[in-house]
Amino acid sequence: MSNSPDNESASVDLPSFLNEDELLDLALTTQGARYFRVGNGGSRGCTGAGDLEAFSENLGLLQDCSIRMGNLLEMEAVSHCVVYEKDSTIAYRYDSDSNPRNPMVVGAMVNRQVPIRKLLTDLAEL
Amino acid sequence: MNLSATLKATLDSLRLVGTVRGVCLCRDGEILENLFPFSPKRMQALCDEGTDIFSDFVDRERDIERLVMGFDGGQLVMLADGELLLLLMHMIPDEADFVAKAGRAFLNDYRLENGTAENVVPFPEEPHADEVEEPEEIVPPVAEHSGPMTFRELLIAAENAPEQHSAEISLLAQAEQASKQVANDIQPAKPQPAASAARAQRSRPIRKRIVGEVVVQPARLAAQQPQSTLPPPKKPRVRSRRQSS
Repeated sequence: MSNSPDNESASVDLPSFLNEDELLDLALTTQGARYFRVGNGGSRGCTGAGDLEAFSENLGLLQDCSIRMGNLLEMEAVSHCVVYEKDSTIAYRYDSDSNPRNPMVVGAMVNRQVPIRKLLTDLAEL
Repeated sequence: MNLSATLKATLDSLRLVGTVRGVCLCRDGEILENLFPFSPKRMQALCDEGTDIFSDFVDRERDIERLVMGFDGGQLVMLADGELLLLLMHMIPDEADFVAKAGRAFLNDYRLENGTAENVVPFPEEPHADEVEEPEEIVPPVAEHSGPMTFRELLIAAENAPEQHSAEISLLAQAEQASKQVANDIQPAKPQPAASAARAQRSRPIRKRIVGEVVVQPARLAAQQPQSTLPPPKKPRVRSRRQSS
């Protein structure tokens, strides 16, 4: 099922001198994580507007799913959500360092399957 | 549809994995086994919602394997395999990978057991003794061509109709007599010396013995290869008695 080793991290240091398209190509080639930050009415990412739009769409879906299930479980506070497709992993979690009244969300998209523990640790350290 | 005793036991053991607090297996929204400490109505709503979520993803042409959600009171792992949906509730977020692997193993077991029960092709039944037909006797065809007949065809034809082939039969008898005469006239070979006999033995092609359609070929031994692989018998040690002075 999972095709990635457990001790491999999802984070890859992307060089800052590349433009957005080159960063996206590099992340897809090296199967590294593309990180995003959403909050305060805006969203940020370093791999271009198209990739950011794809993440926003997935974030809306995942938030909808987790809120629906949380309501039935009577656990309305959602901390994170991870979805595994065949060859990709999409995750988001609430930034614990942000203001609780105006929380921020950090997320990642990886085009391979990454263990949850590693992915959430990388998101927390972002 | 009820689960077998083996699968129920496996699901019970899945309940004991790590900090798992609830296990529920459903198929197309129908609960097959529920080990959650919730009411059946609530669990049915949970299964319906989970099935709806995965069918939404399928409608978007996305093949979702696993969905993990972290809440304030625990973590929910949802595993999908076709129409099957396995819900696992556990407490520690770091256990999610391990719990998901255990759940996937259970789903594979479920598939395996159902596959062997439903998709087995029945073995064709053997016919009864009175239905068995005796094989037809194979009659060798009589040669009807006008050209020269082979020796085998001639023998078959002579056995079937000896009156028509009397001339050929007499010719065969004469040929047999002549070959016997030639065989008697051949003088026996002179005995060869040992070295040349061994050389002849080596250079002679190995005879193939044909039994039915299986060709039995005897093993060829090397020149220095012993006939037996057993070790040579040990010679008894002869101890010389010391003469006591």
